[in-house]
Amino acid sequence: MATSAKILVLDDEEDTKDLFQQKFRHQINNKIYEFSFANHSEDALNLLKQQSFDIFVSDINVAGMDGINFIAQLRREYPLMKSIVISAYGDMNTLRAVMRGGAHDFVIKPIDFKDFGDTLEKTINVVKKLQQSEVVSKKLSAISDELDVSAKLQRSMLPGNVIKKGSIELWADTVPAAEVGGDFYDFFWLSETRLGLVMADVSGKNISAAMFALIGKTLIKSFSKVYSSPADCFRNVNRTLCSENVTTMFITAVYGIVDIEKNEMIYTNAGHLPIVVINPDQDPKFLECDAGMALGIFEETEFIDNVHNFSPGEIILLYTDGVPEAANKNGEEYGNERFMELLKQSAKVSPNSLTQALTASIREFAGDAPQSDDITTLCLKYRLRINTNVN
Amino acid sequence: MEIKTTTEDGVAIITPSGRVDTSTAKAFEDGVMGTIDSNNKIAICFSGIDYISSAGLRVVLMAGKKLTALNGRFALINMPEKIFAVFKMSGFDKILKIYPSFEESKSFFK
Repeated sequence: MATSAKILVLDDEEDTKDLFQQKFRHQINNKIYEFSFANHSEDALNLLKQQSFDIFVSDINVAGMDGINFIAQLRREYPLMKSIVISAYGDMNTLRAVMRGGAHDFVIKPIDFKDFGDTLEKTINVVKKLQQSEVVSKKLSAISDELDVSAKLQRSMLPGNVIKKGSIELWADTVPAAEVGGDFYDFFWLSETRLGLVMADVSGKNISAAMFALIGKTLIKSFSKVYSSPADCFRNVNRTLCSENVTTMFITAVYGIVDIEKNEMIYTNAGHLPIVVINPDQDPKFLECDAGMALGIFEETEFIDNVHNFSPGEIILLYTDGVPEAANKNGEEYGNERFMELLKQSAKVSPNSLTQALTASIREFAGDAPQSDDITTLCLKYRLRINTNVN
Repeated sequence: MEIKTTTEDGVAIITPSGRVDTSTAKAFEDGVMGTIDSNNKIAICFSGIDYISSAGLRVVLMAGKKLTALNGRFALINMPEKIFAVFKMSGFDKILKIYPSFEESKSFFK
């Protein structure tokens, strides 16, 4: 089945037009081929400026003063059009030069129209494939631009990386596996002395997960202003997500409120990995708590507030499963043992250094294996406070 | 990912193997959802699964929701401890039926 093609023929012989129209009358009548004819190379250039062609057919001796350069020029200016040259028998040197210069194929005079028809059909197929790949490539490029914008938007929604205020030093960062990710963190002051911390992971990656993450992040921050208890906040975030969730996506999350007056953190967990506490004098440990179900699944899920009392110099780490579940080429996981060992060694460093050491350690372990999940961490150091009542 | 499906006592037992992560979740979803179209009693056997990510949990959840809507039955069987920990962590063990073996799920499917 032939595809419809527009063909420009350059020849100065008067009967060429009649000959083509006669030999290809079937294709012309069925609108499979549409021919245009030019007598001079200037005519051909003018026609090319007015409309687009798929195929250019030319007698090599007619294509202006320098047929080889003319074909090469067309190839540069019209990369989606292919040229077929017609050459006299025995003119091998010119033919080689014109093929090198960019002609797609050639036929020898006197034209065997069966052979020419086959050549034309083959060349048209090449042009059509080229045009299709051009369309796909443009679409891909548009999608890629969209992803870039989404990634920028997602980055801009994060609160930054760092807080240093009074007894608190905080560092947070995310390394998405795809262009845009399903992980997010957040931190915000609820009052002069109360700092909200959020770490969350949406099921899935890319645009759909990123959109759901944005909804989740906005809801948590909004409800955090209404409800002073993290559990109450999550209860309402969960109900809202459930009532509008047609995608069966869900969010695992932890939300803690650090109170620097009371030296404590009230926190709740929705199906997320437990917070880790790192003490200079003890082994790091998980803050085990009764976790509620992930957000967005079951409307009546209950959440519980838990309390953690800070010791001076203590570090807490919130993270997503991209940390313990990072895999190397053999499919082995980074795992909790390596994770805990690294944290033990990093008990006395700053949150920024700890996060960097952890990311470097995961990268070293994973080696050449592609990053399969977002790696997101939020680290808070509760710095040593001098108790003025001691003396 | 390879997914085998057998039928026993009118229950379709779906047995995937390998990792269920972002790159294999779609195949897992197609396998599970395709089986639901022909049978509303479904058991997923986890004996061959060594990792499941949140994208995989989502597929299990979708299957559960669909079967509830169809008045069907849905259970998870032969779950390795490590996989069970993931279900427990996300709270899914509270809304899904999980049995140590197919044998022990039989009365649920009756």
